[in-house]
This record gives sequence, structure tokens and C-alpha cells, in this order.
Amino acid sequence: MTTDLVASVLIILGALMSLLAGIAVLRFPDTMSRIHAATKPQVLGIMLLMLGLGLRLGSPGVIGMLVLIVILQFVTAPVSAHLTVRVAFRNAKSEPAEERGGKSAADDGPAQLAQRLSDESRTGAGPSLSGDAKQPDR
Amino acid sequence: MTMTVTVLIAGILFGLGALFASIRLVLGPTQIDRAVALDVLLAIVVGVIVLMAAATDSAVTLVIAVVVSLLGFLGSASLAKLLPRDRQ
Repeated sequence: MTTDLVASVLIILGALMSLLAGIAVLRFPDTMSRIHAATKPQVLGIMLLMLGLGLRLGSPGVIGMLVLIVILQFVTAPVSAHLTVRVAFRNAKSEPAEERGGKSAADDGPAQLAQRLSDESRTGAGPSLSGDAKQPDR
Repeated sequence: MTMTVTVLIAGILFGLGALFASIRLVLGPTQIDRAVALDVLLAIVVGVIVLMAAATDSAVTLVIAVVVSLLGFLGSASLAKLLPRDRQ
């Protein structure tokens, strides 16, 4: 009786993860955040569902197939997320920057940071250094 | 009794998740949004197959869950690889 209750709670939690992934894919503003929030609950929800089902049907053949599904999700979900994020990053880089207030998702990488630091060191004191020099007056 | 309530609640949750993913599938401004929505939809299909196996206490339909999860990966990976550069 208690294993039935635990299995039911696990199945409901797995379904809740799928609902969270659906809400996130609908409501998030950017493609990259949608990918981020849609692949993480997917794997966790599948794991919880398999745990609940394995508690209900205990035969070894079934448990083998459930472990196979979980291993497949672990292997394929990061690969597909990586591939789709690469395409989304390419789209964000090639979009004109005026549409999003001058900043894009490709503006904060290490290459841009190195460029900014070399620019500031070339012109002497950069704008952030002169801003910090005013702080000790307080 | 417990299983009927579980199937009802989980069914409603899966249905709402599938509805939201379908709305993103229709709306999504780029094609990669639609690929992500399809991935979420196929994961919900796997969840529904597992729910059915739990409700009827039979494991013969779990092979479909293996195939559908493989197809979900295949769909989103091939869309991401084969979308042309000029068409978002």
C-alpha cells in the first residue's frame, strides 16, 4: 500500500516537471532561456516517472528497459541541447543589435571582455577606473 | 482508487504541458523555438506512455517509449544541424 502511494507521488512529480517545462517554453523571453528551461526538467521528470513505474512493476525486464530509457535521456539530452543552443547563438549574433537595445547574447563572451580590457589599457584610465576613483569621498 | 486519482492528476498536468508546448510550436518566431517545443512535446509523449503502463500494470508498451525518446533526439538534432543559415 505504501509503495503504491510513493509510486503515485513520484509519477505526479514527474508530470509536474513536464508541466514546468511546458510553461517555461511558453513564457520565457529568449530562445536560449527557453532551451535552458526546457531540457533540465525533462530529464528529471523522466527519471522520477521511471522511479515511480519501477516501484509499481517490479520485474527485472521492466526495470532493465526503464534504466535503458534513463541512460538514453542522459546521453541524448545534452547533445541535442548543445546543438540547438549553437544555432540559437548564431541567430542571436547575426540579429541587428538595435532591436534589443544595443546588447545581444553574443556580447558578453571572453573575446569581447579581452577586447574591452585591451581598449581600456590602451587609452590609459578607462571609464570604470575614473568612476571608482570618486568612491572614497564618502 | 489511488491509481485513478493519480492518472487523473498526472493526465491533467501532461495535457496542460502539451498545450503550452503546442502554443510555442505555433507561435515561435524562429525555427529553433519550434524544434525545442517539439522536443518537449515528445518527452511528454514518453511520460504519457509511462503513465499508461503504470495504470494498466502492463509493460508491453514500454518499447514505444524507447523509440519515441530516440525519435525526439533525432528530430531536434537533425533540425539544428540542417537548418540553412539564411532562414532562422
